[in-house]
Amino acid sequence: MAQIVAAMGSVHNPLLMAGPARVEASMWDKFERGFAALRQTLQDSGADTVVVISDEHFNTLSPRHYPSFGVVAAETCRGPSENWLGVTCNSITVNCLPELAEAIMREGLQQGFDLTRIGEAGLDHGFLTCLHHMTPDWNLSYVWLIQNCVLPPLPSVKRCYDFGRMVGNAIRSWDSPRRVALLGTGGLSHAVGTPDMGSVDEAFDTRLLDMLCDNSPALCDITDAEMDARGNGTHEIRNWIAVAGAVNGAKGEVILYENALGCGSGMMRYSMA
Amino acid sequence: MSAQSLNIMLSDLFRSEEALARYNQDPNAVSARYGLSDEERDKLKAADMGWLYVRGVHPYILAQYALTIHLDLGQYMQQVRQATGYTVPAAR
Repeated sequence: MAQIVAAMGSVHNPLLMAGPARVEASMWDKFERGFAALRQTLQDSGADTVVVISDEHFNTLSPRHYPSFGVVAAETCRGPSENWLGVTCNSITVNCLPELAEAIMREGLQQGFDLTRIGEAGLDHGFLTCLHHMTPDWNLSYVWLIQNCVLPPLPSVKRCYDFGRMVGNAIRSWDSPRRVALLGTGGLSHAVGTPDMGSVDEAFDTRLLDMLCDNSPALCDITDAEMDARGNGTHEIRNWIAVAGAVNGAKGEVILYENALGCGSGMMRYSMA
Repeated sequence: MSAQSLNIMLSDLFRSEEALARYNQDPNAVSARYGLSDEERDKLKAADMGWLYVRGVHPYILAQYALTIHLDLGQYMQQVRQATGYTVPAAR
């Protein structure tokens, strides 16, 4: 059976895509060290596959149709979709793993999650930013699971935790020798495109990271109102919470937290030994 | 009336260089195709981000459209804050 050998969370601020070209040097050093720690975690785990859990920012999905939970079931995907990231559009091609996407869809149907199949997708910064620095050669296999964190009404945080638990079960019961890493991206507290853009609630983020590291059941009690109050981008913490749900109660540690680049920027990893 | 037509149109524009080029060539025709009102069409032509925000365009879509057309993000924020009367808290 497949194994989950690593599980991580990371900021996906688009300013980080171009790295030192867009970020002041001393701050970039901190992020680079964080990405290096995640990269090392991935390498030490022997992972051959990365399952990314992230929202999508209307570059592939649209206001016409945006599922609560979707899975990209393509053979390959290209990105970035955006022309403003400082990385040439569609210059990155990744190998996807439709067999695992299918396995997750099948397990989802058994457990009450009717995932939307996304047969082709451009990759945006939600998928790319961390991996651009963690697997710069793009030499692994990838699956992208999309949670709606952007177009209300949103699935509840508990629903996202349970989604992650289903995904964990799907991977562990998949008849494959694959070694799978999970990566939830986005958040933490931040605002996108709204008047309060730039505001960060460090106390909220610290409390959240503590709960994530403890894999506390209280994660499921976080309300939309609490996230709304910390900025619309804060809803992306659902992606980290899904990872927490996938790891069978494993505990974690914080690798990085900075109030930087207009975003509560975190990185963490779970102990999967 | 919702801003759904604007949301769909702007997301189409920032997803496709060809769509954006068609809009730049003939904004009136493209706006008509999406069913924009005259006011929506004119405010979009003027890149009036404050008005579009108050109109209800999704902030993710509006900000990404602004970035795609290379509008300075500081200018974007100034317009949105001015249109909403937002004042940055002093503690920040």
